[in-house]
Formats: sequence, C-alpha cells, structure tokens
Amino acid sequence: MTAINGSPVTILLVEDDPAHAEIVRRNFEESRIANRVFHVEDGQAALDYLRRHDRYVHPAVSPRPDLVLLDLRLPKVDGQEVLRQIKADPDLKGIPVVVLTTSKAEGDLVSAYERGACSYLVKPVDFDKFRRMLEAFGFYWLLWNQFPHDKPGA
Amino acid sequence: MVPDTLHNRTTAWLVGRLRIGLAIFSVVTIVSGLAYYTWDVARIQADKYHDIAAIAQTKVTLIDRWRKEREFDARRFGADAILLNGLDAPRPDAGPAALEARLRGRATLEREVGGYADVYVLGSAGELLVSARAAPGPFAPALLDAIRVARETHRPVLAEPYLAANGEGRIDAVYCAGATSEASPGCVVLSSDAGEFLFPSVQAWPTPSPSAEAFLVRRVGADALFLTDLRFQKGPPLSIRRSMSETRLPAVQALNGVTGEYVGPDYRGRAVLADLRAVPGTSWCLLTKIDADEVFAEVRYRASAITLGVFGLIALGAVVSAYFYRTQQSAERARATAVIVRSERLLQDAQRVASLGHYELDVRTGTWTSSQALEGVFGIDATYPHDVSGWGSLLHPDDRDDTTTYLQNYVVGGGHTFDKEYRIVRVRDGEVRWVHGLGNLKRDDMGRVTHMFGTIQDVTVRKTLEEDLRQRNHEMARFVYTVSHDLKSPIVTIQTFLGFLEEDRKRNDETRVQKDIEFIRNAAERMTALLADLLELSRVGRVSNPPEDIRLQDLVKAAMEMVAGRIARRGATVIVTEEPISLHGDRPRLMELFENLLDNAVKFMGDQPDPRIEIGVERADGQPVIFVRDNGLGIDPRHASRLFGLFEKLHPDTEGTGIGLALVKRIVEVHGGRIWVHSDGPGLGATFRFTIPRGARQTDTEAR
Repeated sequence: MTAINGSPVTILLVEDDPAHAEIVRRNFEESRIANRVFHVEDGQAALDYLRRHDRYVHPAVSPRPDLVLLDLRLPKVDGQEVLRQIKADPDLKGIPVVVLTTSKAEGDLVSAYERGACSYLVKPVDFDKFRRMLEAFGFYWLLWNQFPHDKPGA
Repeated sequence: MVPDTLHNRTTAWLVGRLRIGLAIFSVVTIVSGLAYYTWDVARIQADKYHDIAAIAQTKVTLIDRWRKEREFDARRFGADAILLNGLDAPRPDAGPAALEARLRGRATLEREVGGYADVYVLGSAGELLVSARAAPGPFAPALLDAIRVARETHRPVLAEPYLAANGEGRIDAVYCAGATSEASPGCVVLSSDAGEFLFPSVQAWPTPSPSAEAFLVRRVGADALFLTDLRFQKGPPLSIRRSMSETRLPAVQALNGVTGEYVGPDYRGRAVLADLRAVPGTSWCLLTKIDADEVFAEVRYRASAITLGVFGLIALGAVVSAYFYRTQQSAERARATAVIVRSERLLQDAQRVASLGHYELDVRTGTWTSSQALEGVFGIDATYPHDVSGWGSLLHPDDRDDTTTYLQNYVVGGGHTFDKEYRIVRVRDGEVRWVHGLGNLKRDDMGRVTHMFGTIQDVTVRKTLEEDLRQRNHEMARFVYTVSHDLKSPIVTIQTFLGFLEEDRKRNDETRVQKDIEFIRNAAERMTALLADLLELSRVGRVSNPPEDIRLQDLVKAAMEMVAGRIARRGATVIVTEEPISLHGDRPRLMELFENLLDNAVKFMGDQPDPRIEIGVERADGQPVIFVRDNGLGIDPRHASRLFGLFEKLHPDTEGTGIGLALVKRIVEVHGGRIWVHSDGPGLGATFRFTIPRGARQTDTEAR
C-alpha cells in the first residue's frame, strides 16, 4: 500500500531494544501502511545516520527520513540529546520527531516538547493498546499527514 | 547599653531614697533641737527666777526685821523717855536743866547703842525737847506725817524715807506714849541713815553678777519714787522719779499691785527677768532683777551647742548617706560590671560555638566593627582593614561582583534586609568557606540609611551537607527513573509478544511462534538479571563487614581468580605494581571493585592483538590514587560522562545489563573515594583512577 501521494513514507526508528523495534515493525506490517523503516540502535548512530557520517555516508543506505521515531533511553547519546541536536541542526530541524518511550516522567515530557518533539507516545504495557496506538500513529502520520515534497538532502 | 540604663535607674532610685531619708533626718533633728532649746530656755528661766525670788524673799525678810527692830527700839525708848519726861518735867522747856541733861544723855546713849543717826525727844505739843546731836533743822514732811499718826495711834510708826539736809536718806521711827499720865505725853524719834545699812543690804547681791540689781520704790503722788540709788542710773537715793503713767515700767506695775515674775524692759528699756513684790508693813515694793542677756547667756550658749549638735548630726547623716551611696554605687557598679562581663563572655562563647559573629557597618564611612567570633569566621585579626573593600577582598572571586552589587544596589540602595549566602576565602588558611550574612539597616531621623547591623555565620558544613543531599536526591531520582524505565521495558516486550504469540499460534505460523517465545524468554532473562544487579547494588550501600587493611596485590589476585576464565579466553596480560600499598575498607566489596574493573577492561579490549591490563599507584596531593589501565577500545570522550550510569551501555551488543561500572562507582563512593576515567579516544585504551581515603566515613551512605 502506498501513501496518498503515492510515495512510501520513510521512518528512522531509533530504538536500542530489538524486541521493541520488532514490535513497531510488525505492527506497521499488520496495518499495511506503505513505509520504509530504517532502524538504528543508539543515539550516536541516529545522529551519524542523519548527518551521513561513517557507514551511513551513502544516501541509498541512509535516505533522509520523513519522520524520526525516537526512544529516549539510548546508549551512548540519549534520546533527549539526539532531539536537541536534530532541532539545533538547520538541515535536520524540519524533520518531525515523535518520541516513543516507556517513560511517563513529567520531566521527560516537558523536556521533549521544549526541544521540539512533535508528539510524545508512551509504550503501553497492554498488547492491544500498543497495537491500536501504532495503528492510529500510522494512519495519522503515514496516511493523513502531509510532508513537504522537496526533501532537502534526500 | 542595657546594664547602663539599669544602673542609672537604680542610682536614681537610690539617690532619691537617700535624699528623702536625709531630709527627714534633718527635719527631725532640727525640730528636736528646737524643742530641746525651747524646753531648756523655759527651764533656765524658771531656775533663774527661782533664784531671784529667793533673793527677793531674803531681802524682804531682812527689811521686815530691820523695820521691826526700829519700831521695837522706838517703843522701848519712847516709854522710857516719856516716863522721864512725864514724871519730872511736864514742861521740858521750863524744867530744870538736870532733867534736860538726863534726857539728852539718855537720847545720846540710845543713839550710840542703837547705831542711829540721831534721836529726838518731843514734847506733848510735838515740840523738840532734846536731840542727841546738834539741833536739827525743821522736820521733814515725812517725819511730821509719821508724828501725827503716832500721836493718834500710840503705836510705833516708821516714817517714809526722806532726804535730810545733810544729804543722808533718813528713815525715822516715831513712838508717842499713850495715856500713862494725864499730861500730854511726848514722842521719841529714832532717825536712821538708810544708806548705812538698809539700802546697802537691799542692793547687795549674794553672787557676782554684771547686771543683778534690787531696789525699793514707793508711790509719791503721781510718781514712782526710787528709794534706793540705782545701779545703772546716776543719782543720790530718793531723787529718781518716774511717772506712774509709765505703766509698762516694772516699778509702776509693782506699785499697781502686780507681783511675781516679770519679763520685759526695765527703766533703761533693757529686757530683764524680775521679781516684783510688796514689802509687808510698808508702802514699798521690792524689785529684784537680772538682765535677760545675763540670764540667757547660758541659753545662748546652749543654743549654739544645740545648733552645732543639730548641724553636726545632719552633716554626719549626709556623710553616712554619701558613704552608703558610694558603697552601694560601687557594689552596684561591680555587680553590673560582673553581669556585663559574664554576658559578654557568654555571647562570645555562643558566637564561637555557632561560628557566628556580629558586625556593624557604618554605611556613611564604609567602615565596620566586628566581634571576635566574626574575625574568627573571616580568619582575620584587628589589623585587617575593616572597611567595605576589605570585606570585598574576603569574597570568593566567583561571588565577589554578585555579592558587592547585592549589598550596594539591593540592600543599601533598595533599603532591603541583607540575607545572602556567599563564599569567602578565609584569610588565615586560604580555605573557601560558605557564610550566611544577615543585616538590618538602621536609619537616622531623616530616614537615611546610616548603619547596617547583623550577623555572619560560617555555614560551610551545612552547605556541604546540602550539596551532598541535593546530589544524592538527584541520584536517587535518576535511579528510580532508570529502574522504572528499564524494568518496564521487558514487561512491555513480554506483554506485546504474548499478544503476537497468540495470533501466530492461531495462524499456525510455527517460525513466528518460536521467534515470539525467544523474545519473551530474553525479556524475562533480562529482567531477572536487572533485579539481581539491583539487589547487588543495594547491598553495596550497606557496608556489612568491618573495615580492614588489605594489600592491593592480595585484592587484585583474589579478583583475578573470579574473572580468570575471561582473562584467559582473551589472552590478556595483567600487570600489578609491586609497590607496597594497602587499602582500608570492606574486603568483599573491594574485591568486587577490582573484579568489575578487570571484567570491564577485558570486555572492551576490541581486537587488540596484545591485550594488557596494568594496575598501579600514583600520588596526587600526597594521596594514593589507584589506576587500572587497559589498551582496549577506549572511550569516546563525548560519552565518558554516562559511563558510570546505572544500566548504561555504550555498546548495546555487549553482554550484561550495564551495571558493572555503576557498581564500581558505588563501592568507591561508599568508601568515601572518587572515581574517574580518562581515555585519549577510541582505540587508545582507557584508564580508570580512584581513591580510597583512609579513615573515611563509611556509614553515612547506608541509607542509599
């Protein structure tokens, strides 16, 4: 399935827990929303991906994402720092960042929004809720949400 | 200031009491003195009058006796002479000369025996028959009056005194015989010179006295006649007269019937104390007197003595009061001084105990005074400049601008209370100390700020504890956050994959079922590991074994036994210093420390062909610093800060939960030490350094 504009949506999933990454991937498959998910396991890798450093230097390996789905608790560079750096970078700040984390801590919420997160999602412990949340997320972002056509650096 | 006020109040009270006491004492003394004086005057006057009256009585008795003697003599001689005259010569002028000679002889004898001035014998017609001396002149009216009375009464009559031609004062006694014969009887006259006996006797005084005087007066027509001459007025007797209209004169009063004590002016106008009395059997009055000056000379002397006594007593009272006052004052002052000294010492002690001193800043001059305790807090002495810039120099450079601005703009400029914590560099030892300054502004009558008074307290200990507490709270919050997040993660995984598992089973997708189960098992194992690690971490906080000295080499050897397998698998060489050094602490924990550091080093060796781990000792500021150095992967400096965090993993694919270095840090901190890491960068190895201070407190972290 494709998005309304015809081109699949590219998502950068930053998630250190492989199980959680698998959950996201499977749910996207279930909801049959056209997308491309690129997965990195730590904050440093996310930044390297976005800035095309090291092994992410080739645009084919690391296409510019339409959306970043970001966990907060990450090895090396944590999610809040990744968020800060994205929003501080003139080339990257246009990319919407949606936080997906287990943390309900008020401090994390406030800090994330202050740093420019578009949305903040808490991973539900309940299987159905998790599924429905990701489904709604998919429809909203991948079906209804409009992204700019000209992707700088894409 | 307070004791001074108290002292002044007590003094005023005391002075008031002493003044009142002294005044009462003086009044009582003066009144007593006056009463005594009055009583004494009355007593002396009464005594003196008693004396005078006694003298007067003696004189009256004497006059009376003298009169009676005259009268007796006159009667006796008269009877005799008249007998002669009547028998022998009824007419003496015609009688024989012999009879006349006998009469004259008899009269002469009578005159000589009786000591009379003259003796006359009169005929029945009152004519002079004979006289004892030469023929007298005409008889004085007083004598003629007496003869007339004597002829009528046939009783002896004493004539009133008169002044004879020869200047003598005469008093004559006359007797005329009664009807012893038919022939008219004659009379005899015994004439006495009053100046010879009577008057001197009246005037005489039994004791020497400068003013005492006694005299006789009688009334003659409208006058009072002074019979005797006067002590203070020149003139012969019987020549001084005063008018009876001068009723104030004591003589006139006496003649008007007043008797007894008299106090008042006499004939000279001088005050006298006098006795007035009539002389019985005569028309005379006797005045006996002494000048009041003489009488009261003693009183005056007494008065002086009493006055002197009174004022002496008052002066004594004043002296006693003054002495009492001064004693009280000095006792009071000593007491007040003792109170001040004691309270000053208490204040100083209290300030020293509290590390708190007080100051007063004169805002206009910019100078301040400080208590000893404050100088102790600042580590300065009296020679240190006590002005605003001197205070500014004390401030820690990082706080200087902020704090001086606060003082000038906010406090003095804005009229606020000084209430601020800031750092100083203590002058004595250069140590950085936290102090808490408080200060209230004082204003003058115009409302201008003149002074600031307040306290400065060394709060370093509290600040350090606060900072420590803040850090621990922060760590605690991070810990709870981490734990809740990291424990929640596997639960999310398990729950979700249980859901997937159910779906996959319905679809009979065996491959996916196996995958789902694998994810669930991994998550459960991860949770088990996390819980085990948390338990371990909480155990570290409770130092359960008594601290002991353990050789570094022994600790490393024991730790290596625990990780020997991994070391051997990686083929790493471990080099331990031979320098004798021992660590003081909980043996099992210290072993765990080295075990984790060695494990960490081996784990991150990367593909180093010649893995080496070196353990040794350095010295920094005289304190031993243990290091564990490897030549492995090293650390990206960007990530070094998160290295010791709980469940932090720089490499997601390495085994373990990421608790190892958190545990290491915890063990070091529980022993009061510090741990830090240095790496020149990825691929260049890493060096962990830590301190385990000897004798550091090990129980203060128990609550963590």
